[in-house]
Amino acid sequence: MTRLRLFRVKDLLLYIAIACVTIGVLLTLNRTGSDMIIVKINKTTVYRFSLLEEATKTIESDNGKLMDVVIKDEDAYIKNSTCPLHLCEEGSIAQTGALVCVPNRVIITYDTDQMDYDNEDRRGYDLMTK
Amino acid sequence: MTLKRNTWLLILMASIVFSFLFFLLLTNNRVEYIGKVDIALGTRVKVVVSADHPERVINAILREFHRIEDKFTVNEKKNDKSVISRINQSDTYPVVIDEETAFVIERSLGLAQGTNGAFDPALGNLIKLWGFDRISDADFEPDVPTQEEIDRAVRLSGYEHVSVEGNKITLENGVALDLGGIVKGYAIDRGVEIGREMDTDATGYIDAGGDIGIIGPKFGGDFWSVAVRDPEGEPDDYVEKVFLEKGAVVTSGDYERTFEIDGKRYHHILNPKTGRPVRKTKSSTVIAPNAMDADVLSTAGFVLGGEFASIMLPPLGGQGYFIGEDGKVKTTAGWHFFTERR
Repeated sequence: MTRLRLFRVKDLLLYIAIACVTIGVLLTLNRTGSDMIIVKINKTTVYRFSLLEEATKTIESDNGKLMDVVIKDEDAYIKNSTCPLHLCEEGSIAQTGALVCVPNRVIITYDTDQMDYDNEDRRGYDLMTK
Repeated sequence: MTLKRNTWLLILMASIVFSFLFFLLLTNNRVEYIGKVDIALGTRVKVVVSADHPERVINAILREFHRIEDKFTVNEKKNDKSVISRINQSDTYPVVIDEETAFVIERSLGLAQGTNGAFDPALGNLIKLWGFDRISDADFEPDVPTQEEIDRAVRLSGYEHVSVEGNKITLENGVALDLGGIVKGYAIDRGVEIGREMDTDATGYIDAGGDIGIIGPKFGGDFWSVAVRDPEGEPDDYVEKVFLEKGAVVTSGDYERTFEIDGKRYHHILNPKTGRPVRKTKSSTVIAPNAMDADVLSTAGFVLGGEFASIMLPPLGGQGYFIGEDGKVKTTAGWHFFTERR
């Protein structure tokens, strides 16, 4: 009878490979956020940016510049908006879940339909009345 | 006992596959939420839903928001289909209105009476004078009206000059309607209704600029935790937290829809008596069984101030949390019912 030899190098590599694939699949399935944001103007997706790359992006429509989107520390916020009250410059996408400029009809969201609905652990509440 | 190496390998792989399937089973049992953000009624509308066909439900809710916006929003420059503009601009009265319009106006008049005019749906002239009907426009230019202009607009205001009989409405004394203080709540209620009609097991919420209506409990059986924004803090700072599995919660704050001229900030909640932005309150939050009432009562609470609001609002179906100009908090007696998970 062959004696069991569990830890031959080839086997060990196979176990590690299987474990890595499994962990990768589990992490992917468990993920609801996104490293990408999309910018919609009048309901049309016009820009798609990575949150992993620090940059200041200019958002423009046919009528010219609307605002800048600053991407920093895997977060994004609006600056230099042409709207009259600059309410859209309040807060970042990590804080509010979406950046919206009503006068310029601009909506900036994470590039995912899966909403960050269960926020209690991360920020202490699911949603905010204001 | 010894086993062949391949058998051990098989057992190990089977364990991994089993764990994987078990995880999938757990994940599938979790309720998954789909969300969408849109702009309607001059604000950000976020709908988060779990249902058999969540996208269909969300799209139907957002369509309803846009229908209500077209029908009830007064913005002469952008919207000439509004039934409210038709009523306001009519040369003769009564004007014939549909059942839905009569319902919304009658409810607003009832709550105006109940709050002793703290909420008033007939402030159209004042709101137009201050420009708060155009505050979401890209070309809005803020300006502070003169005292004379304000006094005149106050004289041409007041819900007591509005009457509805069946499908007919009459405006007297030159008053104009503006349903901005109720229609967002009405749209949330309609959205919640549509969500539940389309899927009786639907859960989630509608968040229209911080006015919230619950479609159904989180994961089908848990409370949604709703923070009340700190009027003095950063956008994600909060001063209070409530737990809801149904109903609605609405906040009126002096930090929303504001403009600044010569270092002085002006916000959109006007005192119907003085015609100027209310100064004695920083924020007023109201929980009610439906968003329409919560919307109206939060405005009324803001105008009344915590002392009066904490007494007047509960008989009208609202529980409230009010922060005064001095930062002092006043609540209704039943507010604390919502501050703990029950």
